[in-house]
Amino acid sequence: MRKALAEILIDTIKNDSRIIFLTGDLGFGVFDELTINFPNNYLNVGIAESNMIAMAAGMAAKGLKPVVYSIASFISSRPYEFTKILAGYNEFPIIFIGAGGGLTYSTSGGTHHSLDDIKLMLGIPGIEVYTPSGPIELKNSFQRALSANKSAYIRIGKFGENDLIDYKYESSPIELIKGTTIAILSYGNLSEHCMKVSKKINKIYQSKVGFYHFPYIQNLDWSEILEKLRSYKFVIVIEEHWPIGGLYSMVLHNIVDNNARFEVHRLGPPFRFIDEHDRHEELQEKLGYGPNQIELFVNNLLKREDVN
Amino acid sequence: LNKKFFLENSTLDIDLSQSHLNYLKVKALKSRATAFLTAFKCGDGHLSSSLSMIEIMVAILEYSNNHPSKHVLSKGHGALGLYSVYSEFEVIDKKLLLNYGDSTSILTSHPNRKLINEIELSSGSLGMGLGFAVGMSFANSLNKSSESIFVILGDGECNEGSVWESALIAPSINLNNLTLIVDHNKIQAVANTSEIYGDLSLSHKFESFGWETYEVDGHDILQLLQVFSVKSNKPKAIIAHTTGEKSFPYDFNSVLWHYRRPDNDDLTQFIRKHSLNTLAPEILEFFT
Repeated sequence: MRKALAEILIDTIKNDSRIIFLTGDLGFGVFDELTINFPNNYLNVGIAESNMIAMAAGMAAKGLKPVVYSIASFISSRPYEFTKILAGYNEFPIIFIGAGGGLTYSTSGGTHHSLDDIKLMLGIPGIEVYTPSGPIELKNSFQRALSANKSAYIRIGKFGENDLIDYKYESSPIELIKGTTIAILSYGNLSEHCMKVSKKINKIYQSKVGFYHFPYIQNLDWSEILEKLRSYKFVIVIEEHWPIGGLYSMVLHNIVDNNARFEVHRLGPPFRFIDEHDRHEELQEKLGYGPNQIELFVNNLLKREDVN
Repeated sequence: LNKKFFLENSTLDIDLSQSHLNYLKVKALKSRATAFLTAFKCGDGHLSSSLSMIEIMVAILEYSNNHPSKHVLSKGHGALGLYSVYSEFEVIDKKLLLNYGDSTSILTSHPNRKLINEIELSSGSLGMGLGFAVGMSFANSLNKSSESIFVILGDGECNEGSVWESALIAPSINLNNLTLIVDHNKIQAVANTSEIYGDLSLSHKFESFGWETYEVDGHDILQLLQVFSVKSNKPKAIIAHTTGEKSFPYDFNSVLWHYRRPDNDDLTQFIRKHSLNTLAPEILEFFT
């Protein structure tokens, strides 16, 4: 996904020289082509995230289109007040790219885990939050964020992610599989797992599982979403984020606001710092939301449904 | 400042005649009186922080008359000082000061860029303005714009680590249109700067970071304008020695005045000290 980001930047800079990419000294080798071909549009500001956001705001004030980049945990929480005041309160449009969202950097330890970035960025009025599943979707999200001329946070992975949608989406969520009994809601890197598991289960239990991918998770029309989900009995939110302040929280909050009635479940990392440092997919299994556990969880719900 | 150095290195395109400087000094006095009387009338002015930056702001607006420039008040709590000088330079209508701080006023106690065009940054949380100005200045360099960027920081604000992140990068990206002015009034919210950090040695610090650094009397408009007009390939840091106390009738430099609202006795002595009855009667009349 980072490689795709570099390609997207080059493509867009070719047409708009006002785009300037600022990195907090991260992305070794990833942006070489950009650096060589567009040296004026690339600036490594060093390991100083607060200053990076402040500089980006100043550039935006002068008509440039800054894109700031770091590891998701470093770009979301470290300079948070700068983001709140400069991108939020002052409304200077900045595109924030958080690489390695969730537990992508699982082996690097708790400092590199990003399980609160969505909550933090959703907590600032006026900032859009994008959660693409793969490179093509990232491209569409980036262009959407750029043309909106508003601040946006785009959470991306690292490498090897596959696209679930390769077209310009209009709204969120996207109904990728229509089901009857269980609706799975997810975004970002976990959507691919959820899609595979849903397809697999639907071969046995015909069309019982629906799957909804969220390319972005703010400014959503929840009354419409809940209407769409009305026929389901269970809703499972699967996200690589702490349970507070992410999609799961949003679903609960909106169910109450809209008097909807679902049995809501969540799969994802527990609300604690993750000291385990297994590789990413192994850690997902260990923490109970790997593909096998998603499958098991859905099957158990369906069996319960059959008994009833 | 060495006069020879100034003559050799400055652009010399500003009017530094004695008569013009006197005219600017009167503008500063009227701005100072405006800030004091506004605080007396409306309260909530961060008065000492506003008064210490009056001449700095006068010099910036004077320079901006003949040179394209933008200014950023990073120490947002000096807003009353900013507005007072704005009113003397007719950036805003002085009548607005009469309702300073009211819920309907555009003169908020920390500046809001959505309310006044000339305000580049809604500030108030410290340590953000320098990086912001560095970004503006970088954009100007990239766009080959001749516009200068001025940014005013407080000395207390230099406690913020982010100031030094920004100070570190500015000289390394070849900014030749950025001027930072530290309003070194030696007072912060609840203590003197020296009580917290001892001798700040701000000029040594900025110089060691690669800035072209000057120390001036921050109440001397001539010195400020001279340094503004010095040509430089590096960002300039001006440590402007100031005092909020200069304006007050008392012979002490107290953190008390960071928040205090002047009373009747203070006002009487202020008027007498600055001979406002003869030098700026129209300001007195305006506020009474």
